[in-house]
Amino acid sequence: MKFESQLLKGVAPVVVLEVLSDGRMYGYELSEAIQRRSGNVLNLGRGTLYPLLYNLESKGLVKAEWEENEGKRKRRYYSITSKGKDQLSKQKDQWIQLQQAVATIFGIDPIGLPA
Amino acid sequence: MADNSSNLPPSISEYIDQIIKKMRYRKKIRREVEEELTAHFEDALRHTADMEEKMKIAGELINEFGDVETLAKLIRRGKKRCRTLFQKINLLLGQSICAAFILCIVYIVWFFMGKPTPSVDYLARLNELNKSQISQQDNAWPIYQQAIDVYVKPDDADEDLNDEKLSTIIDRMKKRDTEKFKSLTQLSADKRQRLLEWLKANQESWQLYKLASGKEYLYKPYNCGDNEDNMLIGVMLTHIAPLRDVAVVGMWNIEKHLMEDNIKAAVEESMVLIRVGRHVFRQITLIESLVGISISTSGYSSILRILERQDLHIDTLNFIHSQLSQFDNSIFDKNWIEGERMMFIDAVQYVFTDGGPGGGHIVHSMYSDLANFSDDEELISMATIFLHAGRRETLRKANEIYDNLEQFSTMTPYEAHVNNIKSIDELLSGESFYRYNLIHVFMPPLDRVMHRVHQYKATKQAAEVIVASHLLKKQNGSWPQDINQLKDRGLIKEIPIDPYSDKPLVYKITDSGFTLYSLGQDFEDDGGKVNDKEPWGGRGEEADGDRVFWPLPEP
Repeated sequence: MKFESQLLKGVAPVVVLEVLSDGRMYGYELSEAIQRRSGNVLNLGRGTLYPLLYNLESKGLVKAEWEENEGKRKRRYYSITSKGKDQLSKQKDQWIQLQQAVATIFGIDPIGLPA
Repeated sequence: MADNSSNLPPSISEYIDQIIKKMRYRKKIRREVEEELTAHFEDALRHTADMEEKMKIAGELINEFGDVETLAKLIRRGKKRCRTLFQKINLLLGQSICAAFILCIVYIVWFFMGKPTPSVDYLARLNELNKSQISQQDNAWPIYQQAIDVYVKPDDADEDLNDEKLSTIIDRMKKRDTEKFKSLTQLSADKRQRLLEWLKANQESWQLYKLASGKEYLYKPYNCGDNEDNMLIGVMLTHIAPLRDVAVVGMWNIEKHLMEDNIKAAVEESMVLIRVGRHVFRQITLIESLVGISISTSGYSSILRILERQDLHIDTLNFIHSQLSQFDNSIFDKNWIEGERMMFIDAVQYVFTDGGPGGGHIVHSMYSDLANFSDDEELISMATIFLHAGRRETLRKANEIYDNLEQFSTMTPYEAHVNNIKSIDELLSGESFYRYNLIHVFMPPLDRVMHRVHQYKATKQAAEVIVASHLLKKQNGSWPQDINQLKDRGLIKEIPIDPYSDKPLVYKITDSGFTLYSLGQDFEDDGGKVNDKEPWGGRGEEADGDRVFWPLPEP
């Protein structure tokens, strides 16, 4: 499903942090994980992914390390930092509240069923 | 170039190359991004063996990644934000230094490229200011010019005078009060003879000078000679020295008349000097005013020296008195500052550019010539030029000082003293020498000149009082008790005020007659004590003493 870019823009950072909270990943791996865990609903544009990761890195919410695997190409692994975890926790709460508020306005159950 | 050892389709390699190229960032970071993107595409195409399939997926992936320019920009922005604090500070510092360096270069280039653009003809304005409304017929200058043209210089080629040249003897008259001066009677016979011959040779010049002195006014248009520009500082005052030279002829003529006991002739020659001095004093430049004071004062000195002689006939005294009475005080009512201010503003338009920050900056080549910096002072001149205030600020500061001086010029020295009006030196001492160098270098000591003007006026009035006292003594048999008596008898027009006390000049009866004096520059009444070093008192250690007009101090 193709979402409005402004909608995705707001949710992308918290989604990336949430996925990374499960463990460190490299770029391709991360984009696949997001797609998979969202049930193929969220398809974070590849062009958005790396700039987003670098921004999160500059804010200290994720950190990156190069790792060489034997016989394979070097990859850059991203992992969430403790600061990132705090941020994730806050944003998750906010998202939940937002979701409930919007659902109330739409007159639907937060889980998608009619009120 | 993207590493193609992974066998990525050429479209992807090219795509990655373009992103990296457009990133425009440090090489190391670009290499890392390239590696990361290459890895991503490799992972995405890992499970596809078929080349055609790979190409198709590659196209889709490229579409997903999006526009090269935008992606490159976003990646660059993200990477920039990842800089450490140290890196950011370093970068900022480096950029600041570069920017400062470039600005410096631009500033220096701009600075040295500017040219002044003088737009106002201040020379014409000065001539207009100096011009009298009286007709050309009454202008003394053409006759003075003739007097100068026929003036005969002393011939120094003559070896017969042994120890000193004729010109040296003649010039001692200019410093009559020094101990080396010798009147005609004190010179050796051969020197006296040469001097008299020289005087005779200059009689034509002197007679023309005398004729000119009887004219109403002196007007000689100022010009800048062969200078290309009309800069007022370059105004030729070449007439000043010759006018002084002919005045010296008059001074020696007086000596000759005194030697021959021809008092009337001596008095007449003295009056010529006073009149010539008044002519020159009226001119607008300070130098001319000072020379005028000098010539005129020598005339008054000669009168007083004549009075020193005993038993002058009452007719002689009446003659002297009537001659002196013709000189009023109107010459002192002039605006001293206007011409000088004009000269300064004119100098500004010749050494500053017009426009730009601060209204204009000083031009190195023009200013170096004007300030006459020597080769050794090149560093100082450069520092001055870069540190100097802009045109607008320089003019503002100069006008502030000139306004102060205008205020000063309306006051007596005593008034300025009690009101703590600052002198030029005091006004400038607090100002940076480099920032206001033009002012420091070119502003004349106008306050000191004002002192000279007041002293001249006091000298004039003192001479009138002394002559009047001698006349009254001759009439009554006794000296006047005070100056008021002279005024009451109509022998003087006004009570002379001492510029250093704002009270009348001090007049006291003494055993030998009377004394008349001014308190002098120390503003203290020293009881008529003569200052040996400076007649009017100087500054500091030389301040002590009064300016005694009568009796005449010993040379």
